[in-house]
Amino acid sequence: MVQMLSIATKPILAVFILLLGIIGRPAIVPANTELPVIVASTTQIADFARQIGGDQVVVRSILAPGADPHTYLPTPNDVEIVLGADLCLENGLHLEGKSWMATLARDGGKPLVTATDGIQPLLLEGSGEKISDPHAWLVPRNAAVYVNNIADALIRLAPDNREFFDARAELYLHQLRVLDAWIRQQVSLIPPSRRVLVTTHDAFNYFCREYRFNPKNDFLSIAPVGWSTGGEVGAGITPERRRRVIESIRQSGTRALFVETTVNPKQVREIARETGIVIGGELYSDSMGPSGSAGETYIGMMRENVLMIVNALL
Amino acid sequence: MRFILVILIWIVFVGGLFTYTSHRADLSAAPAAQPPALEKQPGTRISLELTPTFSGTADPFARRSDTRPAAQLTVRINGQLLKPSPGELHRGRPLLIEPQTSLHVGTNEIMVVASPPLEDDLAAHGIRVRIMDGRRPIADRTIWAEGGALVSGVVSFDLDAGGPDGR
Repeated sequence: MVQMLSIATKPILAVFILLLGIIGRPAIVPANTELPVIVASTTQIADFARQIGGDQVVVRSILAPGADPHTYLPTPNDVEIVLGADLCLENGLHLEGKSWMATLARDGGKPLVTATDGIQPLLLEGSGEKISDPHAWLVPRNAAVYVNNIADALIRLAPDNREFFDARAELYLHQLRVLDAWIRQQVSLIPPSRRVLVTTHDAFNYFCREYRFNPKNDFLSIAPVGWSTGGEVGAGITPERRRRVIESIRQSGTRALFVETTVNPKQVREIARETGIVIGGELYSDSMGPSGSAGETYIGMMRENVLMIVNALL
Repeated sequence: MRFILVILIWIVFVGGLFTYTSHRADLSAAPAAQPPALEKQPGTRISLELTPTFSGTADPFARRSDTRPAAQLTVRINGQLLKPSPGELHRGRPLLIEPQTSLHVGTNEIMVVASPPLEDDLAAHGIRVRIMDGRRPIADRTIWAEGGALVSGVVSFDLDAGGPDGR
């Protein structure tokens, strides 16, 4: 009898356990392949988009860490990446040489947002022309404009996530404010007479203007290579520019020169040998550092740059 | 036949259990208690007096968009944004605000956020916040921030029918 009961109840128990399993199962959200895909031209713009979008967007960067945006040539793989995008982000102000990101977005029929919209660009002289300096992200105050532009673009793309994007953008803007205050405190440790920043290419104009480096050069960058490493007007290296840099170094009595992660260091190393000045270290300029490095985020790259500059010039 | 009947009974039982559990949260949720609104009494007027150590400037790190311009001073009363914008901050000059809404009997919170100037200024800044009942201060607190940071803080105070009690 007991055995018969056992045989009869087994399937019932099995069904019961199965049904309980279905009811008790937590709501499992399948891996969402419908998330908006954001494709950014540079690593720092991709970082801003990730900070704001969190896990509600997929962010891809065309440039790898250490790549030079001025001379970059898009590959067939980049075309594939852009074809899968819902939104493209570029720096603008001709950072992307020959507007390669705008071309990729236009050819792929994708919406494009220029992250520097609304920034008052620094105007540089080059061969008698005025050129807008594209390296605006190198001060947190301008990075805040990037963040606001990207947050607005994400909200337009996914309006249901407005509060999520707004809250994350606000938190990130607070972090940028703290970063800015910290940079001011760190730079104040360097005596004003030693605040001379010589780098490989003219990427640090906004930084010098904001934090009062290079007073004898109108608080602008001192570098042997112009605002771009490409062939644009006012870009590249000329004998005249090289001579002026060496003159500035000798007059200012700077303690160190800096190379950059995205630019060939040959010019600065030659100048260092010629002037007898040491290389203070390698700065992040047009790109963040690789994953796992201290400069793998925007805040990280700025922190490492400032620590290196302060350490070398003190 | 008996076996199918047993299965049906189990399905009805488990189905009922499922329906019950899925609606359990709604059944157990008690309606949120609404604190009684502060009744306006003759001679009782709650106001805020903000005295900054700095003149307000546009905040470059504010979240701004087409629908939300950056304000140099934000005041929230019990979580609600004070509208219209309370006006401009001038160093050492008290700014008087008379909130029209949102105060109630019990604990009230007033949050103040302001942006001091950033340029070459590493000095600490602050705002003295006084909650006034007529001419009598019922809460008085100064919110400080290090150079470059937002001046941001919350002032709490209690109001009851017998009279306010600031803290």
